[in-house]
Amino acid sequence: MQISYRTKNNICKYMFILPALLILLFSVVYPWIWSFCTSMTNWRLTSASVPEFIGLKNYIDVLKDDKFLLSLRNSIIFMLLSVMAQVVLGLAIALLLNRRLFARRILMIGILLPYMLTPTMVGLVWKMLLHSNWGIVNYYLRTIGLNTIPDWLGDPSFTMLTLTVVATWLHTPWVTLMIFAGLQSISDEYIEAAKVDGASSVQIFWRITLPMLSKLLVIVILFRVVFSFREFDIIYSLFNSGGPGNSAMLLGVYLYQIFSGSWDIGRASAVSFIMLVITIILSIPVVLRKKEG
Amino acid sequence: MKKFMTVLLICLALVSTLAASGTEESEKNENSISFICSAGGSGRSFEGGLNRFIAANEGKVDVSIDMIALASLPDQLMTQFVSGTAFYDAIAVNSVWQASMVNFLLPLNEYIGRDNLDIDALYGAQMDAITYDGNVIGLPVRTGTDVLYYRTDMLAEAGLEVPHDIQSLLEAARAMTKGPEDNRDVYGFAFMAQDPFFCTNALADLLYPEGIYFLNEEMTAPCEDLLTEEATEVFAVLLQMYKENLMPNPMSWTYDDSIVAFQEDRLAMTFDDFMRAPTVESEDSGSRGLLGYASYQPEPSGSNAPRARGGWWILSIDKNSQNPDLAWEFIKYMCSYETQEYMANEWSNGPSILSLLDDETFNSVNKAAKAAYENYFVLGVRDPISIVAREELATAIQETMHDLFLERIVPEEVGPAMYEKFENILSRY
Repeated sequence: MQISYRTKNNICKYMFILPALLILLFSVVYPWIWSFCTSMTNWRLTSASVPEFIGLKNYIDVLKDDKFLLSLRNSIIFMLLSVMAQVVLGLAIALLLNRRLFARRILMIGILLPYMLTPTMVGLVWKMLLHSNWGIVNYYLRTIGLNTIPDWLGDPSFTMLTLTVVATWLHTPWVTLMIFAGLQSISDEYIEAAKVDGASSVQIFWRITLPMLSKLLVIVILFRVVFSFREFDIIYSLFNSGGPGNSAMLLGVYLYQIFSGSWDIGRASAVSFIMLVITIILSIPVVLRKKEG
Repeated sequence: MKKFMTVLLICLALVSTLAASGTEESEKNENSISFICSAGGSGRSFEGGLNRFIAANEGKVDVSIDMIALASLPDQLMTQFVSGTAFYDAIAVNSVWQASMVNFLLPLNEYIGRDNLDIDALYGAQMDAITYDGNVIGLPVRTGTDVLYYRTDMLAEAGLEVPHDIQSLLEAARAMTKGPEDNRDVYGFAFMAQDPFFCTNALADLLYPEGIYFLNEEMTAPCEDLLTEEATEVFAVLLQMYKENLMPNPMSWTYDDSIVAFQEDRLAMTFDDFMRAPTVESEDSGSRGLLGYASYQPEPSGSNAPRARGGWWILSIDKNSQNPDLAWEFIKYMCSYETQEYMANEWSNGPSILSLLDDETFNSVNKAAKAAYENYFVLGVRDPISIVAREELATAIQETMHDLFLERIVPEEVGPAMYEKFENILSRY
């Protein structure tokens, strides 16, 4: 039987993407399906008995759990504060780097350094810096004569600020890099034309730079929102738990406590799927906007 | 056709590479085993014993050791158990998660019988806590118990005796605290509540010697003593210490902080594991030679037998181990009298052969050993929660103590809050 050229071509295309599809199937799709099935059982790893199907009971228990609602609330607050700080700071630094600065490349390396560190190490280092008794931050605050020294790691009213500062320090370099790349792709002709027409720097930023960066900014914000919901490493390195009075109880910490505390893999899978649904909901505006575009 | 064949070859190459990398097995033979334990003090002492084992069997055995962070060890072990790979033959298991891992550990009864090992004579009542339905799941290799660390000079200066109950603890803490309230030079007492594990231990140090437990004797239900006035008194004193700033913020205080605080001459008193005494009194420590250690024995007020807080590490064998015989030889060696003596004197290990606590050489190495001996042989020692639900219960304890310090609840509400949380947690197991 003769195969047409078009059919051969199509087969070739699929053969080329087959390895990637196989990897996706085994490393993403299969674990998703397995995890979803597990979330509907009462499987506890420490138990010798066979897991039983319990339907949506795990999901109902999680959604009714006060601690889950607290962690959801804390995650939303953290997401809003940290993403806003990262984008504003990242944009400011990227705009600065976009100018013809002396030693710009060295500056860029310095700015990107935090991103090279592992989140756990960042958490541990900041834990030492922010220690209320022998941390260097409070030492200098006392030196400059500040009377009331904040307890960054032990006072619930400072927890969100502490987390936001540390997360911003860690993730702003990536945001800066993305926006800087976007700025570099904006043609100088637009800026020069605007200058010739008498536009000020502020007008150029609001009327030319920001609109041209808008699509990139949406993607950057989406990535940061999704990853901030998953934040765990720096929180656990800083607080070893949900923080003072559970003020640092975010979804990642809640999930970890469910799993490592009780080895209840059924319930932990349910939590992870709920987090997946939340992430998908947050991505909808971006997907719709892309479709419109 | 050429294109098709090229693509097919690439796919085959990729798939076979993936398959090969996924099934790589370590080259083990009957003379080699792998051992995993936690890093830190326990890991160092285990490594000391392990090197002696290898030296004693030079050329005949090969034991590789992996030391990982304590917090990651249970996850690592559970992954191994569930996957059935038994990459590590011998494993160090802490009393905290021991109950969670019982089903995955090889019962050692056959080996013990075969070698005529008198485990009762060697390890005494500890074996009760390591035996489940008649199956001995490991041998104790490292034991610890909390004693009261206190600055002898500061206590003498205050004209006080060693605290013997909760009120005298408060009085001593007040007397030994120095400096302005917003920036203390010396804290009179320290209580660790940052981490659920250490918070549970720290609270047990105050409650258990009074006979007030978290759970009943069988560990199947909350203990009624949590609802008594005596328990409330303990919670009230802790809150009072916090409000008067006699102790650093417990919600951000760790056991490492206590060690540093003693070394920096900034702490007068706390409960801590006796094994840490040599570290606290290191050469450059500001408290070197100035610390005393006592077994805390208040007048019992609870309905249970008064006990000191204790914990342990055991060495066990994975059920799926390919070399259980060699793993047994290794475990037996590590837990033998000679090795325990060596690890105690050279590596600051808490010996599982408790008679060594009274040994002159060990007492010269660790000045807290005598107080630990009293804990074991006069007061008695108990792990506060040695059941599967331990982590969840410890988290509940920590959260309730945080609510107390943040004044979201009053001392009278702490016991009932813990009781209710324990009931909810235990109902799911």
